[in-house]
Parts: sequence; C-alpha cells; structure tokens
Amino acid sequence: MESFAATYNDGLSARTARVQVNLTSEGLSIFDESNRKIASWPSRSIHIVDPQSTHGSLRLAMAENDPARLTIADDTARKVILDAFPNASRRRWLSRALTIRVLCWSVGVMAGIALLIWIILPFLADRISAAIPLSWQSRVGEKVEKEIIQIISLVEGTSANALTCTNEAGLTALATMTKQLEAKANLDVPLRVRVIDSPLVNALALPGGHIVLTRGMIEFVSGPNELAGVLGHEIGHVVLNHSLKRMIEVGGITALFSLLVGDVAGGAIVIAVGNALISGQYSQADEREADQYSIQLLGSAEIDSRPFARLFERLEAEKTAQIPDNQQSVESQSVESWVSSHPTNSERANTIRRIAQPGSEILSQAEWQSLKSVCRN
Amino acid sequence: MDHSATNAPAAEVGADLVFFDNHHNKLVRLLAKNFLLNIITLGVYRFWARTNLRRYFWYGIEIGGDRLEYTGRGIELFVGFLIVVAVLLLIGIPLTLAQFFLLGEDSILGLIADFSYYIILFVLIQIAIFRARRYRVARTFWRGIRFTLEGTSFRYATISCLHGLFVLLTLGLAVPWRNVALYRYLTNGMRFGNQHFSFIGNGRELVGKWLPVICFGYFILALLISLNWNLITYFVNLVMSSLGLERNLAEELEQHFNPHGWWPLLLIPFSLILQFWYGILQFKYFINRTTLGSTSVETSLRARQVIRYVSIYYVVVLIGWAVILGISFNLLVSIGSDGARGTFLGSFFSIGLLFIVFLLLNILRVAWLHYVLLEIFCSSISIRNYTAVDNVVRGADDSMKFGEGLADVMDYGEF
Repeated sequence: MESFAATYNDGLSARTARVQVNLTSEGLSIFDESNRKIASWPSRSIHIVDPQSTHGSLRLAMAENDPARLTIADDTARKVILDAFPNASRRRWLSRALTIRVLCWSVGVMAGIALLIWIILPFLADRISAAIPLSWQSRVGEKVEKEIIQIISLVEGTSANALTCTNEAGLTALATMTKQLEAKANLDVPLRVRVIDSPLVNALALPGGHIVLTRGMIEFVSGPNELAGVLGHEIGHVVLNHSLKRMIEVGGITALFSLLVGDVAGGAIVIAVGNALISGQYSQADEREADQYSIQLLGSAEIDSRPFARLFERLEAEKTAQIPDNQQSVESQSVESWVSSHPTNSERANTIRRIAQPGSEILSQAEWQSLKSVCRN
Repeated sequence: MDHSATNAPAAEVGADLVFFDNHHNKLVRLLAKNFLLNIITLGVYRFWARTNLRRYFWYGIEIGGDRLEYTGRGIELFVGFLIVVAVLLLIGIPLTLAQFFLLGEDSILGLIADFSYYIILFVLIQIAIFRARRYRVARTFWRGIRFTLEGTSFRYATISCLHGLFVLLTLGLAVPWRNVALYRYLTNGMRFGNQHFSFIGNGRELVGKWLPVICFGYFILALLISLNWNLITYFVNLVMSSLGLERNLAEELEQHFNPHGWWPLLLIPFSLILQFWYGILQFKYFINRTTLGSTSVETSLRARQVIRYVSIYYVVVLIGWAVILGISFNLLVSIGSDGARGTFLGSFFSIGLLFIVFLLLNILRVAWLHYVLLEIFCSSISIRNYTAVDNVVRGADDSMKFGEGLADVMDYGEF
C-alpha cells in the first residue's frame, strides 16, 4: 500500500490541511494530522482537475460537482497516482443534468431561430412593408437605385451619370409603353422607369415604384410585347411590394448572422440587402405571382401576352446551349443572372402560355425601333 | 509533522506568497492550436479556445502554495452565446430596420434613431461587461472555495450611464470618480466564500494624477486648433456657403493649409503613455485599498516597468502591421492584374504568410506581453494578515448557469 503526503481542501473552508493519503484498492483514503480518516475517494470518480497541466503540483477532485481538492506536490507520488488511475486524466464530459439542459437550450434556440426565419420574419415583412408610408418607400427606392447604379457603373468603368440612357425618342417610346400598362395597374405610386447602359440582361423592381431596365434586356427581347411582359412582371413586383418584403426579410436574416459573427454595426446588412436586390433574389412564389400579374395586366390593356412565354423558351434554350461551354460570354452570364432565382423557364413558359391571351402590339414598329436605341445619343 | 512550522506564514506581511508561472511553450502550442481551430471552424471554436487559455492562466497563479482554478466550460460560453443571440434578435431586428430606414437622413427622426442606437449599444456593452465579470468570478476557485459576484447588470449599467453623463458634462475631468464608482460596485459585490471584498476609495484622491493627463490631451488639441485656425475657419465658411462649385477648392485648400501645423500629432504617443501611466497608478490605488475581511493586499508594481514592456510590444505590433499591409497590398495588386492562374499560387502563399504574421502577433501579445505583465504583477503583491483567509468558509452558491454570451456578441473581453 502506497502512502504519501498531500494537502487537502474539503470545499467547506479555505483552510488547507496537511494530510496523509493511502492508496488502496478502492481508491484513496485521506487521513488528517492526528491520523483520523477524513475522507475516502472511490477510484472510479477520481479525476485530475487540470488534465493539461504538467506543471507544478497535481490537483485531484473526487467528483464532478464536488469542490474538495487534493493537491500532491511530490513527483514520485504524482507518478504513482497517474499509474493507479489511468482514467483520471480522461476528458470530463458534462453531467447528465447539464447535458440535458444544454441540449434543451440548444434545440430551443435553434427552433427559435428557425421559427424566426421561416415564420416570424415573412409575417413581419408582410406587415411592416404594408405599414411603411409611400413617401418612405420611394425614398428607400431612390437610395437603393442610386447604390445599384453606383455599383454597376464601377463594374462597367463609367460614371454613374453616363450610365443612364437619355435618348429622347427612346424615352418617349418607353413612356408610351409604361403609360399603357400603368393605366391598368392599380398602383399607389407613379412608376419611374430608368434604362441603364449595361450589357447585363436584367430588370429590377425597387420600392416606391422604381424600375430599372438594362440595355442588355432591351436588346435580348425580340419585340415590344416581350419587353411589355418583362415590364408587367416588374410592375407586378411593385404592386405586390415584393422588393420591400424581401429587403426586410434579407435584412432580418443578415442581422441574425451578423450577430453570430459579431458584426453589430450592421455593415453586412446593407451589403446583403443591396446584393439581394441586384441579383433579384425573389422567392419562386414571388416570381409566379409577378408572372401572373403581368399576363393579367397585359390582358386588361388588351395587349398580346403570348410573346412573353416565348421569351422564357428562348431563355431556356440559351441556358441549355451554354452548359457544355465553359467559357461563358458576358452576355450568357448575365442571362443567367436574371433567371437564376426564377422558377425553371420551361415551367414558367408553360404556365404563361396557358393563360396568355392574344391582343394588339403595344408599340408601333417605329416606336419600337426608337426604344431599342434609347441608349444611343 | 516536522515541516509544518517552516511552511506556515509566520510573518504578518507575506511578500512572496503570490507568483505566476506555467509552461511557456505549452502556451505557444495552445495559441497555435486555438488559432488553427478558430479558422477551421469559422470562429465557433473561440468559446473553447478562450476556456483553454483561461484555464492556463488561472492555473499559473499561485497564492500561498495553492493555485487558482478555472472551472468554466466552453459549452457554457457557447450556449450563453446562443441565448444572447436569440434575445438580441428581438432587439436587433427592429433596431436594424430603423437604422436602415432612418440613419443618415437629415430629419430629426433620423437623428433620434441614430442617437438611440448608440445609447442602446452603450447600455448593452455595460450589461455585457458586468455579466462577463460575474461569470468569470463565479468560475474561479481557490482552495476549493468559490468566488461570487453579487449585484445586477442593470444596476451596473445605471451607474455607468449616470457617471458617463457626468464625465461628458465635466469634459472628462470626472473620469476618476466614474472609475472609482464602477470598481467599487464590482469589488463590494465580490465574495470569496462567505467573506466579502471591500473597497474604500474616492475619486478625489486620484484626480491629482488624472489632471496632468487630461491637461496634456487638451494642450495637444489646443495646439492643433491654434496652428490650423485658418484651415478650420475656411472649412466652416465652406460648409456655411453651401459649396460654391465653380471655385477651385484644391487651390484654396493649399492657401489655407499650414504644413507646419501638424507636428503636435507627434505628441499623441506621449499622451497615450501618460494615460497608461495613470491607468497603472489607478490600478495600484484600487488594489491597495481592497480588503478581504481583515486581509489586505498591497502591490509594489512600478509603472515604468509596465510601460517599458507595453511600448516594446506596440513598436513590434506597428512593424507587424506594416508587414501585414505590405502583403495585403501585394495581394490586391496581384489579384487585380490579369492571368489569374499564375498568381493563384502567389496569393495562396501571401494569405498563408498573412495568417502566420497574425499568429505571431497573437503569440507575442498573449505568450509574451500578458504573461510577463501577469508575472510582474503577481510578484509585486504582498499580503497583510494572510492567515485570516483560513477562516473563510463556503458561501451560498449563486452562480450563473451559462455565461458571457452578451460579452461575446458585443466583442468585448478576451480573458
């Protein structure tokens, strides 16, 4: 039987007692200076308090939540203990009660976050976006539009002013198109459609009736009614207030994750919201609603909406044609960007074809020609 | 026992009862491991990393032959963090939305939103400071007896806010009173077992040392203003006259710019050293006036010694950052240029180099500066009436279950 000197703290008082420790087959027996047995520690639960410390004295505890400590300064005694209790330096896991509590909290918090992202946030976005006054909406739209134009002008390497297309005849033709649709749409705010001189094939709807079309989009469509379909789709986003809802949702989710990484100032939120708007990340439900709205709008303006379906067929063909080709052209990449978050094009084309109605051309041939050159000065 | 007499603290004042030591290369290994795992786990490991470091430093402090013990767990920090994220979301989402819609607007509403955002942030930081302190104190054991911090984070935040206002109104003169009030609240609320700590002090006794610090700061400011008075009045006029666009601003700027007006900026490092010097004196004042029952502590820490180490550290850090900026610039240039394939290996190499510099700076800070400062602080301590501590018995346990989440989210506090 091994025996050695140690110091002992019983966890009840701060007095350090000098003790004699006997190593037995059951564990450790601890005797005070008058040779009275004051504690016996079963070998099963003995563990080293600082398993990584190879420095200084060895500190032992009897059980997980027991504050009593046995400290052994002697080097040979240290070796004896380590040999006798090979499990003592094993990693401690949490007690069962604590494990359950930790699990409950973790599951609860995860469930809370999930609830927040999928139920509370969309609900809030719906309510908040409806409650925001129109004047604020258009101010936000203006702000975001400015930002987007700034970013695109950086990408294109031109100034923000040069990016806006100002050909007068083209703008008049665009206004003719917009007015016909606007007259039939139940809008709370006047539409403000802007064309920017960028090869990207894109169209955006921002809060407060701001719509941005790209030169790439105008060149990609094969006729005025295809463009009217696109414009109607964006008007749908405006009427249904999709962009504000998305901004609130994306802002909320980004706030969540910026908290996780410790960015409280919110810089990431502004970037994410802008990014979501540029890449047009609406939900698929939003897109279907906007498609349907567009067809209805064109229908009530008695405009032929069948070309809109053909636009998606062409987009789909373009996309499949690109797949084997690794070196995508700028244009094909930008086509990708408009359709990436949209429901599959063939599905959309089918839906639109089913509900599309015949009607008249929205612009005369001459007007269409001038609209196509809206970015030429 | 024959050797009990030699080890008993016979003297009333024990000078070398406290010291710090632990394996140095173990700390370096620990830091490297934490650094790597933090990168791999995108920062989630930080809770366990911090716990490991604390365990190392707590264990290194020996008082009267018994080492401190840190009993916190990484999982506690992690869960505390999750809880705080959940709570903050309730505050954060409306706040962020308000900020997005209102901030930067020229309306009164925007100003209010802007202002209240920072007020709320300040209050949250105060709450985080207190909660983090309480968690750390509650996870500290010595001789099998737990330390406890009583009080509420709300009360602490209130004291901090009111004194903060006082400091603003007195243009910084009231800083000693604020610091004393906060230290008093944290100290008088702290227990070791059933024994309360107590601090008796007054800001009045520190203000004499604070005065030269603040005067020097204002002196630099006054110098800068007087030397560049022309430029300042020019800017004020410019803003008032709503920017005449046809004017040649660059030329006018040149006229009003005084190239010899900026040398007072060189005094700023001295101002920082002075502030640091005050911090050390204040720290000594706090320590020397803190008692635990009839036991009291005294530190003979010398400000000059601390400032020397810290200055060396900052000089090396400046060099380190120069290297980091140099590498980053190089990286940006190589990414900006064409031929992405050729520079891929180069940028990979640069990023690796950046990580190494960061790691080295981290090692320098923790394994050298913190280690050395702790070492000289511990060995500067002498304890009066040390044996009275033996009479302390365990107190009522009132520890937090999970802690520090708020402090982590607010990015406050490392140890």
